[in-house]
Amino acid sequence: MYSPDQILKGLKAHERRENEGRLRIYLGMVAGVGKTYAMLKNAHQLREQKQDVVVGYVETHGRKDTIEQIGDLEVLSRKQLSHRDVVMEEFDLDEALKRRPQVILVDELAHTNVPGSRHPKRFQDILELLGQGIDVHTTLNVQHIQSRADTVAQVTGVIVSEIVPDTIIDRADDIILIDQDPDEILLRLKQGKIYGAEKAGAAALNFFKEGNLTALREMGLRLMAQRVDQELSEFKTLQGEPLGARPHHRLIVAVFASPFSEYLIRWTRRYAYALNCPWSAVYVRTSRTLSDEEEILLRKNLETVRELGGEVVEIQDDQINEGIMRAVKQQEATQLVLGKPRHRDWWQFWKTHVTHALIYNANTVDVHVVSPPEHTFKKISYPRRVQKILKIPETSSLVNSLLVVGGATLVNLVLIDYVAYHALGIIYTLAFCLSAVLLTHFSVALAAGLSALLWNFIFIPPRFTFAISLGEDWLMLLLYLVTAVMLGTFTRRLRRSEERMRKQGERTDALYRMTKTLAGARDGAEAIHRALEQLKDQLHVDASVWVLEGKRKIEDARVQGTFKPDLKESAALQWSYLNRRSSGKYTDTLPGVSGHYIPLMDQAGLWGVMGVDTKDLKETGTEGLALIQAISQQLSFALGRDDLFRLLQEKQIKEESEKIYRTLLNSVSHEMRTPLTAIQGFAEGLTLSGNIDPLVNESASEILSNTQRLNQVVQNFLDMGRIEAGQLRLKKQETDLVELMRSVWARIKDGKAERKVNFHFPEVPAIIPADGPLLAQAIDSVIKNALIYTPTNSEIDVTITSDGRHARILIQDNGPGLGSHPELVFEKFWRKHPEKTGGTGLGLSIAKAFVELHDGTLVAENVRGGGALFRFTLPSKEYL
Amino acid sequence: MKTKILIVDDEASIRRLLTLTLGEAYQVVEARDGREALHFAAAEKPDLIVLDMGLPDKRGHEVMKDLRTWSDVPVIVLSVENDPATIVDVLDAGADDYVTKPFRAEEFRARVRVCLRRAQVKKTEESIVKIKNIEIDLERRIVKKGSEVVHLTATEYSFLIFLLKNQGKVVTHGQILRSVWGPSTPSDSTYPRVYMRHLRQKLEHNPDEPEIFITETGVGYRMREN
Repeated sequence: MYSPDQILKGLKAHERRENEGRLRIYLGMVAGVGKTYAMLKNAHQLREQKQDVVVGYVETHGRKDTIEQIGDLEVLSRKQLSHRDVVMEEFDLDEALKRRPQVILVDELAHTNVPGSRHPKRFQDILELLGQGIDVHTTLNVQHIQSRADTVAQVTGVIVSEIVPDTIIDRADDIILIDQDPDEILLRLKQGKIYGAEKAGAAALNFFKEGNLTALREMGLRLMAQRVDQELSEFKTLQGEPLGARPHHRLIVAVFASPFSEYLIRWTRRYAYALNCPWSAVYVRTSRTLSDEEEILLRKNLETVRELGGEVVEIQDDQINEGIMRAVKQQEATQLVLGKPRHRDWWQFWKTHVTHALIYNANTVDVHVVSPPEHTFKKISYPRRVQKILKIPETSSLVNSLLVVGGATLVNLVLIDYVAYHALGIIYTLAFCLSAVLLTHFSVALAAGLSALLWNFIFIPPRFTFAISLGEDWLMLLLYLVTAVMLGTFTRRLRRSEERMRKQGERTDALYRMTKTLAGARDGAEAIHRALEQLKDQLHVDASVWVLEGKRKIEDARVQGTFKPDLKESAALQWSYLNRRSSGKYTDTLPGVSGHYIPLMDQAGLWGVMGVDTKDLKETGTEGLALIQAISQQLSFALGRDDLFRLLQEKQIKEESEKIYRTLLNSVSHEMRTPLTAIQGFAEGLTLSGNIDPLVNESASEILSNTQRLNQVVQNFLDMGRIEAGQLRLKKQETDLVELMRSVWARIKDGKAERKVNFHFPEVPAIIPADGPLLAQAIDSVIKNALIYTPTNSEIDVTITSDGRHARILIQDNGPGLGSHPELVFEKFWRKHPEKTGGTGLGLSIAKAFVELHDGTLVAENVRGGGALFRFTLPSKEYL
Repeated sequence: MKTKILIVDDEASIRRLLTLTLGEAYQVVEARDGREALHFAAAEKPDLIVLDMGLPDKRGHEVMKDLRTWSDVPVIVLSVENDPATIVDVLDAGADDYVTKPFRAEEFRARVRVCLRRAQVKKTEESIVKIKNIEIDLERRIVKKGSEVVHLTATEYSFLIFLLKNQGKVVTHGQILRSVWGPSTPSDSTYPRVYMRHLRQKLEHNPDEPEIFITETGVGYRMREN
C-alpha cells in the first residue's frame, strides 16, 4: 500500500514542473572529471534543437578544452563586486532574470557569493531562477552535499565548508553523474589538466589520493543508486502501482544546543532517506537560560534540520526525557535517535543521563544510540555556573539583602533580653525566607552568609567575637547555613518557574487575543488594521501590509500601515512578492535591510506582503519574530476568507444577472416569434388555400419569404446579443464532426439539391468536445454563405481532418473569392451585395464567435485560381 | 368519429392558426393555460395534445409531468426556445415530439399524422416491418438489407428495435441509454453515437447521407417513417 501523502507528493512534483524551471545537476566526485565540459557540450546540442541556451556563469579554471567548448554560446556579462578592496566577478542574477533564456548554465552550485550579493549562496540564486520558470543546468561535486559532508570529512580528513542542502538535490529534475576512473584523474592532475601546471599544489595533492578518490566515487554512485530507487518508487506511485508492504516509519532525533547534534541530524536524515520515511527533530526547552553561544548553536542546529527537510518540534519541559517522549507521541514516531553520552561530570553522579532514562522509558519506539566522531567535538564554552553566580547582581537586590539581614539583627537585639540565643536563629531563618522571594542568586548567598556571621558575632556566646565555645553551637550554625542556602535556592527556583509560567501564559494570551481580534474582523481591510494594531501594541513595531486585491504587480498594491520602506527596502518587498518567501532582516535574502517581509498566502493564493520594521524588535528577539509569523499567518487566513467571500458575492451577482438576462432573452424571443409564427402560418394557409387571384397568391408568398427572413434576423440578433453579453454557455458533449456535418447538410440540401457538394471524410471519426447545435449553426452559416455567393454550376468541397490535437473543417468553393480583404467577411453587418442577397451580415460573425467559444479558429482566405476557403480549426481535447 | 386534438396555447392567434391548420381533418378543442389543458385532457379524452411550452400559469414541462402520471395520450410540444436542453427535458418528461415556432404547416401536419398513426400501430403490431429497402422480421429476429441478411450484434439489434418502436419520433440520448443499455449507464456515455455509426454502416444505402437514421443535433435520433 502507498499512502495518500506519497501520491500527493508525486502529483505535486509533477504539478510543480509545469510552472517552474527544470534543474539539471552534473554531479562529479571531484574537481576535474569534466562536469563543466559535459554541461557545455550538452548546451550545444540543446541549441541545435532550437532551444534558447545562455551561459550564465562558467568557471573554466583555465582548462583549454573547457574554454574551447564554450565556443559561440551566448555568455552573460558578470557582475563586478568589490569586497575589501578586491574586485571580484560574480554571476549576475538580475542580468539573467532580465535576459530570461529558456535554459541557463550556472557552474558550481555550492559556490558562496561575495558579501553584498542578493543571496549568500549561489544555490539560492539558482532556486530563484527556477522559480521564474527558467531551466538551470549546474555542476556539483559530491563532497559539497550537506548530508555527505561528514562522511567526506571522516574519509578524507578535509572539512568542507561550501555545502548545499540536500533539499536542492531532491529538487533536481535530472542528475547526471560524470564518472571517471581515479587513475585517469590522477594522470590528468599530473599533466596539469585539472588545475593548470603551476597550481597543482600541496593542498590539492593531499586531497587527490587514490583512496580518497575511490571513496568519493563510491559516494557519488551510491547517491545515484538511491535516487534511482526513489524515482522508481515515485513512478510506481504515480502509475498507481502498489509499492509493496512498507511499514510506516517516522524518525525523530533529539537536538540540543550542542555541536554533536549536527552530526546526529545528518545521520538521521541519511537514515530516513534510506528508509524513505519522514523525520523530525525535537528540542526540549528547559527553564535554564541558554548562553548566547548556545543559543546560536541551537538555532544553527534547528536551521540544519529545516534545510535538510525535517520538521522541528519545540517542547517546553524541565524534564528533558519526558519532553522528548511527548514529542515522540505527538509525531507518532517509530524510531528515536539519541547521542551516546560521552562523559559524565563528577558532580552529576546522582543524575541519570537523558539517554539512559529514555532507553529505559521508551517502550513504544526503537532507540538508536549514535556515536559522534571525534572531530565534531569542537570546544564550546558552556555557561559556567560559577561565572554566573559571581555575576554582580543589581544593586537593589544587594541593598535588599543587607536591609533584610540588618532588620532581623535589630529585632534579635531586642529579643536577646527575653529568649535564648538559639531561638534567634529561627528569626533569621524567617527573615531569610521572606527575602528569598525578592532576591537574586548572589544576594541569597550573601544574605545567608552575612546573617550567619552576625548571629555568631552578636548573639552566640562568647558574644561580640567570632569564636564559638560550645560544640552544638558550631553544629547549629552549620545547619543554619545549609538550611538557609537550600531554602533560598528552592524559593528562587519556584519563583523562576512561576515567572516562566507567567511568560508562557502571556504569550498564549497574546496569541489568543490576536487570533480573536483578527477572526472578528468584518473584512480584509479591518483584519489588516487590527493586525497592525496588534504588532504596535505587543511588539511596539511599525508595520505595513501591501494588499494585492487582484492586482498583478506589487507596485499597484494598496498599502496600509505606518512602515514606509525606502528604495533599498522595496527590493526585498518585491523579492518576497515574486518568490513567495520571507526576505529582509533575519532571512537569507537581503538581510542588510531593516524590514522583515513575509508573503501573506495560503493554498489558494498570494494575498499580499507584510513588512515589519525590525528597528525596535531587538529586545523581543526570536519570540517577537514568532509572534510576527503567527500574526502574518492569521492575517493570511483572514485575507483568504475575505477573497472567498468576495468571489462568492461576485458569483451571486453574476448568476443573478445571468438569470435576468435569460429571462429577458426568452421573453424577447417569445414575443417576437409568436407573431411571426402566426404571420407565417396564415400566409402559408393563404398560398395553400387554392385561391386563384394571382395578386393574393403573390402577396402571400412574398409575406411568407419575408417572414422567414425576418425570423432569421431575429435569430441572428438574439445570438449576437447572447455572445456580446458573454452569456453563452457551451454545453459540450463528445461530438462526431462527420455526423454533425451530415445532419447540417441534410437540412440545407432540401431545396438545394441541384448544388454539387463533395464530402471528404476521414477514415476514423473526428470526435471533439463541442456544443453540437452551436457548431452546427456555424457550419450551416458558412455553407449557406458559399451557396449564396457562388454560381449554381460551381462546386463546393467539404473536407474534415483530424490529427489528434486538432480537428479541421475546410469548406472550399470555386466561385469568385472574397476580394482583397478576406477577413472582412467576419465583420458585423458587412455584406458583399446588400441589395442582392438580403440577410443581416451577422451570420459569419456569429459563426466565428461560436467557433472561438470552442477555443478554435475560423479563418477565410482566397484560393489561388479563384474561390474562397473557410478553415475551421478546433481543439480535439479539453486543455485545462 | 373524427380524431380529437387538444390545442394548448395562451396566444389566441396561434390557437386560431393551429385550428385552421388542423381543423379540416380533425376535431379541435382549445385550452388557454395549463390548468385548462389538464382539465380538457381528462374531460374530452383527446387522441393527441399539442402543448405550448410557454404557458402563463405552468411551464409546459410541468404540465407534461402531471399529464403523464395518469395518461399515455401522445403529446407534441410547441416551443420557441431554440434550446436543445429544454427540448430534451420535455421529451424525457414524456413528450412524443417537438416542433419549434415558427413552423411550416406541412411539416406540422406530418408530425401530427405520424404521432397519431404510431398510437394506433401499437395495437396491431406486425411481425415484419419494412423501411426503404430494409426488412425487419421481429419474430425471427432477422434483418435484411435488400435480399441479403445483415448480421447485427445483440446490442445493435435492441437499439434498432428501440428506434423502430419509436419510429418517426425523436428519441433523446438519455432515453436510448436507459432502454438499451440499462438505467445505471452514465448519462454522458458515447455508446449511442458509436452504435449509431454501426447501424448506419450496416443498414443505410449511403452511410454518409443517412436516410433512415436521422440525427437531431443536440437532442437525439429519429428513425424515419416508411
